[in-house]
Amino acid sequence: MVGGPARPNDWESVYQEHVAPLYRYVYSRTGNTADAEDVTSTAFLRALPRLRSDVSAAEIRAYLRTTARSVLADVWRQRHGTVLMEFDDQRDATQPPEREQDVDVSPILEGLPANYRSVLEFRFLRGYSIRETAAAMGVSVANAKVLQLRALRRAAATGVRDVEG
Amino acid sequence: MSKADRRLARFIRALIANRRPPRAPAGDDFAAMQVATRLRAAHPGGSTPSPAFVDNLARQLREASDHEPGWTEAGIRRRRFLAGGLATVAASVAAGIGAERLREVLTEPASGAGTIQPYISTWVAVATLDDVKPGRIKQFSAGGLQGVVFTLDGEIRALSAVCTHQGCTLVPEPAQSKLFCPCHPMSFNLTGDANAGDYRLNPLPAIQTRVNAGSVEVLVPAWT
Repeated sequence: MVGGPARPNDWESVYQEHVAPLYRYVYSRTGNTADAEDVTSTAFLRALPRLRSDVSAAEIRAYLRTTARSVLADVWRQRHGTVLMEFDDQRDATQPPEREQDVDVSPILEGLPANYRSVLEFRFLRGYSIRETAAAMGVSVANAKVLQLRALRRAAATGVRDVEG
Repeated sequence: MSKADRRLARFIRALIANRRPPRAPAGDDFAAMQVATRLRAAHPGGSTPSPAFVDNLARQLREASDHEPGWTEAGIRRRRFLAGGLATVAASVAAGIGAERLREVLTEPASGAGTIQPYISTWVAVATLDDVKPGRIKQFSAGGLQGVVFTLDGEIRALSAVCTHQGCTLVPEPAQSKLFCPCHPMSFNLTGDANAGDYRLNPLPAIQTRVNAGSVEVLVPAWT
């Protein structure tokens, strides 16, 4: 269906086809349900009335994402006073749509020291508390707290280098 | 820990608790915050929209398409479902929402007074469980709506408390399980129906309710 010949769209079909993928996309950039729901809603309410009836599914997908990104940028600007930097948009654009449900974080974790990788896996992927993380890693609570911050900052620095390089 | 450390730690805590991160300048940590967001979003089971959300947004879109002139000028239109078109629904909406259910949500028009479905909505706590014990009626004002919340047949319900005649705010009379209009000799039952009298009035619109953390919440417009 992607990129196929345009059949006239009605918004209900567009909604059905795109709501779950767009939500996944937004969730991967918000990491919490409340923000993901708000941004997805706003994006659909803004984008659907402006869609022409003869555009392809791929164009709709791109337009919804662009709209969602601008809503996300507003959220970041208002909340954290910063511009949302899309350090992996290039990768997104080339990813076939059926792959987008796999949020692949291995590029983020790759190349980090083992203890940094561990602390991020325990905290974020498994949702361990600091205390549980400390116990699992055999370090003190204070240590685990600091470790998670260092690991994130290192991963962030590596991500930015990747894009520049 | 420095101020920046504490700020980033708070950001992480919110994400892991599935809360919106608090408002705080990102400083040098904006990339770290975005990495944290990506990592958290990759945890198993987080990235599927809930059926309730998919439902609710479908309703909002339907309302918007019915009422906003912009929608009719654009090329994109509503369409009644054809049986054949539904095959893709189950496949594409992997949220566990059934095709039948989605069809119902999308095509059933809100009929009569019905339930208030604000276009942009938010849940607001308006009463405690005590307030809505059988025999009580709690008045509230939220999101620009005047309403009452109470228990009827073991179910917590809310109604608009604005008389459908001339807009006077109704006065609850718990002893009689009625809402009286102060402007005319007129009353409504807790089902929302007007009592037979000199006036033939539309029923009161219902307002959605839910119980959250020991409070009774109602779904009201988020604009105000």
